[in-house]
Amino acid sequence: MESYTPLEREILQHISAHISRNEEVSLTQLSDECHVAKSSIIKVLQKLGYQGMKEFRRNLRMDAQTRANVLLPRSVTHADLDQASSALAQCFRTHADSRNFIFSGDKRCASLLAAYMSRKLAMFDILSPDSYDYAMTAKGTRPFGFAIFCFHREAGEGGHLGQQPGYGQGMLAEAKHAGYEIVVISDDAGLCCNAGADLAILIAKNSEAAIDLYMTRVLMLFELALSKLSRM
Amino acid sequence: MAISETQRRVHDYVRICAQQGTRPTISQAAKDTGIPRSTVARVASSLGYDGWLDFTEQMAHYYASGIDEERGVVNDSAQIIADALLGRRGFPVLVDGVGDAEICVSYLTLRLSELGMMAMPFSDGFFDARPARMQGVLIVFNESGMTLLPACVTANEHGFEVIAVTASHDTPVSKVAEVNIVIKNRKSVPQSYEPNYFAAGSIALFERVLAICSRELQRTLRVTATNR
Repeated sequence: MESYTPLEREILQHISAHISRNEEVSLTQLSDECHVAKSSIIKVLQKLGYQGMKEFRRNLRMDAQTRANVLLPRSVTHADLDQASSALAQCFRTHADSRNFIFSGDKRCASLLAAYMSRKLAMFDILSPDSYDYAMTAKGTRPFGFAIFCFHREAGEGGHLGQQPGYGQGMLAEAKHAGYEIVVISDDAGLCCNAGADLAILIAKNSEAAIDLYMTRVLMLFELALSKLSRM
Repeated sequence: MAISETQRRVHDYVRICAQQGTRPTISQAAKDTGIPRSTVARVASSLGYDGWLDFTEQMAHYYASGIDEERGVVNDSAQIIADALLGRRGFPVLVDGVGDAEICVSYLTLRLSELGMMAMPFSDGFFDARPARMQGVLIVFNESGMTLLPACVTANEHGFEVIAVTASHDTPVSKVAEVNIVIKNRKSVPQSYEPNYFAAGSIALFERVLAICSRELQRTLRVTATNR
C-alpha cells in the first residue's frame, strides 16, 4: 500500500473536495489551491493509480454517467415503468406474509435474478426463496402468495441462454394451479400475453444487438418497485 | 493562491449555466452574481483557463454536450477493461463482489467463460496453490471500496491487474486498482429505500465490455482461419 506525506494528504483532500462536488478541476487550479507545483499533483494522482490528469478527469466524468442515464438503458419496460413498478410493489405488499417463491430455472439468468430478489425482499421482511422445486406448489402452513418468473428470450449476439421454448412453463402452470399469483417478467411479448400471468411485465428490447441489457432492466424495475414498497 | 469566495461563486454560476446548456457572457455573470464585471473577467484566467470564452466553452462542452461525450467515456471505459482482459487471455480472470454486486460474480464468470476465458470466482486459496507471481486479472465489484481490499492487495502482490467497480473514487480499493470505474449509487435503508442501480449499472458496463471482447475474439478467429 502507498503511504502519503502530510502535503500529499492535503492535495488528496483538495481533490476529494472537488470530486464530492462533481466539479471539473484543472491542474493549474489544483496547484494554485494547494500551493504546490503541477508535478506534485501528478505524483499524487499517480500514487492513486492514475497515469495523469487526463485519466483522472476521465474517471471523474464516469462519475456523472449514471445521472445522465448513459450507462443504464433509458427504456426499461415496454409500457409505463412507473405503473409496472407500482404493480410489482403492490404485489409484494399484498403477499408479504404469504408463501412466495422466485423461479430459478436457468443458471445464466433466472437463478441469478432470483437470488438477488430473494435476498433483497428478505430485507423488507418478505420471504420468497429462489426455487425451481415443484414442492413449492404443495400446500404449506402459509397461504400461497406470488411466484415470479423471469423469462429471457432475446439474447445478445452469440448468446446462449439455455431457455428453450416451453422452458419454465410446467412450473408456472403448477404454481398457477396451486393458487399462486403469477408474475411474469419477460422480453417476449407473446409469452407475456399467453402465459396466464396475473401480472405480466414486458421488458423493453435491446437497442444494440450485441449488448444484452435484459438483466440490467429487470434489476432496475425491481429496485424501483422496492423503493415504492418502502413508501406504502 | 487558494481559490477565493468570489472565484467560487463565479465558477458555480458558470457551471450551473453549463448544466442548463447555456454559456453566459461576462456581463450576464456580473449582473446575476452581483460581482463587478472586471472581477468576473479575471476569474477565468485565475482558474487556469485561457480567458472567459475558453472557460465557458470548456464548461459547456463538459456538461452540455453531456450525453454523447459521456457515452464516449462509457465506451472508453469499456474498451480499457476489454483491452486488459484481452491482453491477458489465457491467464486466470478472478471475479469477486459483495452485497448487491454478488450477482455480478456469477454472471461475469459465466459470460467470460462463454468467451473462452479462464474466469472463476476469487478465493484466497487460489493463490495458495500457485507460484508467487503470475499474470492474471482480478475484477472486483465493491460499492464501499473497503470490503474487498484484502482480495485486491493479495492479487496485486501476486502480479494480478486489479479492475475495480466502486461507488466512489475515494476508496482504498480504488487506490489499489489499476482501473477503477465508478458507478454512483444511493445507499438507503428499507424504511426509506432508494433504488440502488449499482449491480444494474455494473452488468450494463460489462455487457459493453463483453461485446467488445466478443467482437475482437471473432476477428482473431477469422484472421487465424484465413491464415490457415
